[in-house]
Amino acid sequence: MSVHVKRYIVGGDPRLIKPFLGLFTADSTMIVHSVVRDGRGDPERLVVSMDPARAAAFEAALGPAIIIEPDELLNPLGGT
Amino acid sequence: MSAKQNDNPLLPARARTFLLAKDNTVLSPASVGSLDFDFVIEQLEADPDVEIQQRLTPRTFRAQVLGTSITDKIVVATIPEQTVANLIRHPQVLVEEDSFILPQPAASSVQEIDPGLLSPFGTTTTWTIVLTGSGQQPVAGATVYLYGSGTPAQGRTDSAGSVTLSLLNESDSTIRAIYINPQADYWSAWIDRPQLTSGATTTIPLAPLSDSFPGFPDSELIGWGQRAMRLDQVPATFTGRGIKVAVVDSGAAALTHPDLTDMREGIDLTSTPSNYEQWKDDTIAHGSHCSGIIAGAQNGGGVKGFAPEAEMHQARIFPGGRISSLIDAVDYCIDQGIDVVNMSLGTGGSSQIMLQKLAQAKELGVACIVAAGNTGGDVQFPGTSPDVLTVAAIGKNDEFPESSYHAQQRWKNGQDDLGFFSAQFSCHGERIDVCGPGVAVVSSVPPSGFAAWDGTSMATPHIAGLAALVLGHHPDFQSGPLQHKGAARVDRLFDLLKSSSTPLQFGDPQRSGAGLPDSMRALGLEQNGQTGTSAVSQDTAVQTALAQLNKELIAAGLLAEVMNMEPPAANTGQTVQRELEEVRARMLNASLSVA
Repeated sequence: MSVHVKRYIVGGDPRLIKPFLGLFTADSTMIVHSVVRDGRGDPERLVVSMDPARAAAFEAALGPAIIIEPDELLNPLGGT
Repeated sequence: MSAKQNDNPLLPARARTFLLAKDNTVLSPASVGSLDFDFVIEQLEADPDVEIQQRLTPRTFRAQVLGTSITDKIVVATIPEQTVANLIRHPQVLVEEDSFILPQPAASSVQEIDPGLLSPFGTTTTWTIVLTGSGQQPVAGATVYLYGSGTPAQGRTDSAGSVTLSLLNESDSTIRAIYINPQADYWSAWIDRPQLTSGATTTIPLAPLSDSFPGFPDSELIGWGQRAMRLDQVPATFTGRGIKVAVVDSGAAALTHPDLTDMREGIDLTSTPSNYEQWKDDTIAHGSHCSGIIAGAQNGGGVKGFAPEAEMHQARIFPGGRISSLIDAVDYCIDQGIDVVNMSLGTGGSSQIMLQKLAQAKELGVACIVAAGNTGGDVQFPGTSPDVLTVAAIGKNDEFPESSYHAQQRWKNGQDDLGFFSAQFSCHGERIDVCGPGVAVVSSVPPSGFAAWDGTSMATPHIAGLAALVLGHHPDFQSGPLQHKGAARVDRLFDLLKSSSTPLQFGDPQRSGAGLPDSMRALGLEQNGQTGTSAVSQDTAVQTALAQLNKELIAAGLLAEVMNMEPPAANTGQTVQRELEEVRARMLNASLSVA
């Protein structure tokens, strides 16, 4: 049975995020969509798709030093 | 038919059918006595506009004898709305619309649905609608919605202006409304209870925008919102030149639209990797509309924006935009040294990371101006951030045809004496800072047309455009510490916009915040309703004019001649005024134009 994944933003101190980028990249159930790096080349913000249960587990283990939150869709607010 | 039923020039409305009965549960006042309901019916029968369709009486003797309630005699009749309004006022007459009753739809919970229930039952009815415009030309590409009792049918008109729509278990008499949304150049349309005939073709004429704005778009339009904010009284030499404005949206039709051709910078964040070209492809038109309001070119045609000649940057995140793309867009704005960012977007969610990014942007002097949201409820994210200016939407009576959809956007609970009303869709609450024009706003849409749209999305660029103008021309930002980017500069800008605002009385201050910003006051050309009568306001106005002249002289290479034009702090308004006149005379001698 396939796992329903959602997109999350992962942000925080690059020194803390750096080891997890490797972990996320190696995990076949997760997709790393983008990595924003700081001036030293360390990752400061990731966009990752993962199972919501795993996201909740990461959040509980890593927060508040690392923030993991849903990457919500935005809507344009005009038209007729 | 009453005048109200006939007032839609596009297509007459059907008359409504009502149930009438005597309310036996109401005690009649002694001075009036019990109502003679038969007399009421006789009066209605004598009215040529009333059609009595049916009389309902209890079928059994028991019901007739025991019936002490209202059900002893019910009349079904088609009645003009004015007559209905008179009947409703009588305390002993019950009047209700004879609503259609439809089969109960299948349960909404997917898990509980028996697949057998999903099989359609009943009959499908179709209606064909043809839209015509100027010179009976077909209007292609318009979206038409047909509302029955459930989910509306929707379709798009073809090259002949025709669309055929189907609904299940509906009939001519159950159609509640038609909503027509043209792509460009025409007003939208909303028709209650349209007179449609299934199987036949109904032609509906649309009203061109040019009927309301003679000569448009060949001659330039200053929109109602811009006039309400008194942009039309600001000297034409006040432009957005030197100010960087970013629009985080769907891009802009810079290659095809005459009002947007000055827009040359941008990034497309919808594709991976991002690129610097595709922002010119605005597939949903939203960014083009917002950009036109901010900086539509001052070119003698189309719609003039608030801050033409501003350095516009497009950060394209739609379609498909998420909070992560908005964070990327704000990073782009920080990197580019943007002064003002327009965010006509929102979500019901939230993000700590986004809030931190917005706080960082403000610290670096990037002023983010954000739409409140269109759900009609609490302010949406990121309008809830304390580091942005949040904008609600208002409309104004007589600025759109009553037959257009814009007429449906009035908030029913209040409007002010000048005809302004809160938009019913606008989010509201304590986080609203100001309001802006957001109903029937005409601006640019791809490839080269114009459309009248509603939304807090349209209100926000009015404020962002004025913000650019204020940064470019208010004396506070031309010298001293506030000419340098930082949080204090953003705070002062937001304070000026709020303090310049005209309060609006809608009966709920959370619907309009400080009110509608005023261009003349925000620019320091006029203070708090005083038209330059005090020495203070004269000083500010003159300093603003001097700052403007200073810019023109720099552009003309004549700055060295007039370096001493800035008034000393102790100068009175009259002294400064004299200096201004001297500068004007010197410019005229040098054959330079003076506003």
